[in-house]
Amino acid sequence: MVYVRDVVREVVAEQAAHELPLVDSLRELDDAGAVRALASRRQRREPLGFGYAEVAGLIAPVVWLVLDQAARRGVDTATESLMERLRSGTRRLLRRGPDATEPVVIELEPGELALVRTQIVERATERGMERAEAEALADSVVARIAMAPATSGTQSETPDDPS
Amino acid sequence: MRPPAAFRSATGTGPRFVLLMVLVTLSGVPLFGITFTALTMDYESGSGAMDCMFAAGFDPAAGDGENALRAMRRPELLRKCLDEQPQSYAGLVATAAMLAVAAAVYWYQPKLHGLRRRSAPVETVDADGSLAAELALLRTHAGLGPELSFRVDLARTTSSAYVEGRSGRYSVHLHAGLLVRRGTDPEGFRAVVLHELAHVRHRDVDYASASTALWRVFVVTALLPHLGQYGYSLFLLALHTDSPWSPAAPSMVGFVLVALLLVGLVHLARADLLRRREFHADLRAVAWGADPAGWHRPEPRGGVLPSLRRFTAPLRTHPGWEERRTVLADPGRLDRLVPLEMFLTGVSASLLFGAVSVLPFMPRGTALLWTSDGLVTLALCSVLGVQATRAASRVDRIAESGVLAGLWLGFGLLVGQFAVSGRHRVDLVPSNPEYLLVFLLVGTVPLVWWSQTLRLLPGLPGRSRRVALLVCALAAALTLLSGLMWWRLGGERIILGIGDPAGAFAKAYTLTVHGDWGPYASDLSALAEGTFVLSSLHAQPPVSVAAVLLWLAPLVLFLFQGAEAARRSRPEVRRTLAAAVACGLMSLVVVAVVRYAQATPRPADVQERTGAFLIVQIWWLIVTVTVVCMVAGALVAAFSRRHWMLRALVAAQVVQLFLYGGVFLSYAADGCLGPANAVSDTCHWNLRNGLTTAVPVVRLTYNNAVLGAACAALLGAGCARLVRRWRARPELSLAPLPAPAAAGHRRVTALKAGAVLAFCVPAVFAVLVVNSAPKPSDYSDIAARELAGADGDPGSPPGRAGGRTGDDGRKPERGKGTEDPAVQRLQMHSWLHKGGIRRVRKFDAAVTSLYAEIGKVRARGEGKKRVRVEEKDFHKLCVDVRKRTDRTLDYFPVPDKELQREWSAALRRVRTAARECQEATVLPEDESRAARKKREKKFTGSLHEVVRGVSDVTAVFEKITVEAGSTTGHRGRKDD
Repeated sequence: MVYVRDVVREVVAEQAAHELPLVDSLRELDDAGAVRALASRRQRREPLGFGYAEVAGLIAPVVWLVLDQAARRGVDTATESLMERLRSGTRRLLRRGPDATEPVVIELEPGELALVRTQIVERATERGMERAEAEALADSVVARIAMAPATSGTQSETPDDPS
Repeated sequence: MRPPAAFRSATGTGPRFVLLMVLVTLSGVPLFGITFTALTMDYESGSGAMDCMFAAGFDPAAGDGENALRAMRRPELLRKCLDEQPQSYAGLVATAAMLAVAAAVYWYQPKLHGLRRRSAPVETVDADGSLAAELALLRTHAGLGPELSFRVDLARTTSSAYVEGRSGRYSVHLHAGLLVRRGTDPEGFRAVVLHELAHVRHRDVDYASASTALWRVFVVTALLPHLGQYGYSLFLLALHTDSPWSPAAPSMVGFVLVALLLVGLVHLARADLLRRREFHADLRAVAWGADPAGWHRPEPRGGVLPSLRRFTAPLRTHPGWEERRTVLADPGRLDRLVPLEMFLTGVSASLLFGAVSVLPFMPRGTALLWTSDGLVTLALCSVLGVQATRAASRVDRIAESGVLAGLWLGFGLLVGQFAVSGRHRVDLVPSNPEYLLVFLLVGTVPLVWWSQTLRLLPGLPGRSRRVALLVCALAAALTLLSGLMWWRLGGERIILGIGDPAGAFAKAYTLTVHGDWGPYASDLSALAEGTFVLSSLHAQPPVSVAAVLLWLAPLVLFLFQGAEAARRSRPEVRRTLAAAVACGLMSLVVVAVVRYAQATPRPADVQERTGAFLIVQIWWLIVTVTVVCMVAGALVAAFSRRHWMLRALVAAQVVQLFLYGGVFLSYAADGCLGPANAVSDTCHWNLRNGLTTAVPVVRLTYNNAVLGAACAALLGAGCARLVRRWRARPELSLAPLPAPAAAGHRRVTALKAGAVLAFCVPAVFAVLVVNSAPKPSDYSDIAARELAGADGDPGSPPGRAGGRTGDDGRKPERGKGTEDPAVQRLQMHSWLHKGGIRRVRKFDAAVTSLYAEIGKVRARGEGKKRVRVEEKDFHKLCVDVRKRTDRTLDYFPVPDKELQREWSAALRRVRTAARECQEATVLPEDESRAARKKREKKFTGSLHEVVRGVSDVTAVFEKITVEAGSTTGHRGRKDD
């Protein structure tokens, strides 16, 4: 058993260390918030911003989004995320601090691992990564999940632990 | 040329932001006021400014021109009625409260944003501390202190940043994605951070946050209730089309239009200002060492269609990357006067006038117009002064001319004025809307003049350059003010078609000037209309100062250029003066031709020649002077490539002086001119005749000819440019700006000073003539007098009351009565409650006292053949009755024309009888018996007549109260 956020960080640390600040920033949020941030294409109105900018980071969004989807296995994420947003919004207004939502755990069968690999390769190539690099990335991710039971003791104590 | 230190600012857009916020704040006062009035109005009490209008005869179904005429019949009464309305400060108090709320929102805005956005201090994601160290370094490099904090916006994966906060407490929020960029593109990261620091350094955060807070609070508290109120009223009118208020819908649309225009203006202006500040922040960031490659970013994909992007671009707060790169490559582009910016500033200025002029503490009458337009001019100069100065310092042709920018400014003034004036109109479009185009000239002339004058300033030595700059700024501001004031004093009436209200001025001429006007019917109409156009600005000292400075300042600048610049400007001055003298000599011929044309045929009788004939002749000379100056200005501008407006004005002034000399000499020598003689048949030199004729010509033309020549120069130069383009002549490239001048030779300087004095002395004399002669009767006085006369109105203004006594035969010929019974009832009701009842009660009290005295005498004389009467007591009572009758007559005419005739006749009957009673009770010395008997008979008869007249008055007043649908407490008198 392993947390999605931990897999993502490990993969990013290995494949694209410059994206670590992004992953660390997202790890400050709960998993739903991080996934929402990575999936969002909305441009906010920032009168004194620098201007239009594209999404930075390549590996972190691809890996996190695919793993999150696989971990949830068809749960209606839209409904869930809406409810979670309402709940977390209320908590913020009431100043109760972040919700102690459990981080998403990923456990996959061999057939599902193959599917995850395919999806990572597809998404990464869609975003302009070379096929060979995409496959190397996918293999790295799959290897980590497959090896997870043996190394489950290394998972983070708390969701926000950056180790 | 470098603008003076006072004009320099980081971005030059601060004054525009301030203007926008002042406009929004001041707009709140009338909006709150109107909403409060609508919520608290007691529709039955007869109080409120609208009732004054109804009492004066306002009819929503009539046109604006007709309503203006009705208001002009008794302007002093209307003014008094409006002044008597309780001054409401609710709008001011509510606006102050709005400002307090906006200040609170501004203060707590960052905290509110913090609740919504998930951010953390930079240290949270900065494991090795290098990020915080780099940011601190950049902050120090930007000259900012530790009060500026850096945070990471955790949920933003884009590689951007933004800044927010309030005065003294700012925070730069880095998107989480920007931290990725720091690893891949450190220079790009630095560019983003330095750009945000530049925003802080330029105080953009304060302007943006304050304007946002103010606008949001204004929309919620003032604008939405205002729009809701008018939307509801318009909805009701749409449901009840038979309502007497239906015709007033356009004026309601006017209010809605102003509100919507304000919404559009604020959004566009704010977006425009923020875009400009982005450019300045980019430039500052690059100046601090940011790599311009950081701006090589892709344009956003998706969103609006590319074909629509041009229209949506003005609403965006950020310019496109391509545009930003262009500005970084050529920062001088920011100094150009952009059409959109000019247009928005023009609209703001017009809306500002609309907001300022209705503030409760402003003065009344013409002082209000001067004050309001003075403030508008001040605002425009503060806002555009820096930009215009920077633009004029550029060498290229587009920026130098100022024509395009001026036209857009004028167009903005026009649009704003159209919307603002819509609030006071019942017609959606005024009868002469083409006169609104005058605003194009009002905006363009000062801007072009300023632009061209600034190009002459570098040729002066340092100290005198600063003085000249101030004088020229004053002249440009006064010219703008003159244009705006012409609109307030003349244009606003002309646009409604009441320049000569119902022929009142023409009638005034026929009554006051002797002679047969029959042959001059068409001249009279032109005279009445034209005099109004010219007289709006003719005796206004600020306009005269502008008129002198417009040509004198360029002349001095031309003559006192330094050695190097003088080499270029000397031929220009010579050519201009030569053309001016040639035009001046030709203008003398024109004067002679006009004199001859007007003198044939002339009346045989000398006395006749000094009346209508002479007035018409002087009028056409006034037209000649104005037109010839304008033609001279247009010609000189058309044939000048550089400084065309300045040269046109100098030339026109020379021509103007020639023309004045021609007019003076031709009348001083009247009698020696053969067929062109006007009055005299004998040849002799008469200075007085010359002065008598020249003074009115100078008075009506001095200011107008100079301003007219400036406008004509614009048209002349425009036409010449079109012709040149048509003939495909290459445009002249401008020479670079001259170097600052050294002091000139003393002898040459004395000659130049002499030349300036030679022009200056007669001009100053002319200005003294213009402003020292007694002012003619006020426009509203003449209009009121003649309109009241045309109405057969009983209440005549003071000064004409005696002359019009017994003028019963004069029936009203002009104007239609109100047709809608509901409106007429409203008018009657207001007529009663705005002074009708008060006057009748006082009249009633005076009559009651007289009746009481009559009753006493009757009681004393019961059973006797003769009874002694206290003549002094009766005299006093009769005088009182006459005075009260006069006072009752001195009121708005009854809205129903038939009732007005009856009311007027009944009151005059009482007045005549009371006057007879008054005369009959004066005891003469050594009165014979027969005379005494006659006086007794007259006294008795007058009392009977008073009683009958009072009975008539009572009957008519009862009819009026019935028509008004109200009970008044005044009971009719039935006793006889």
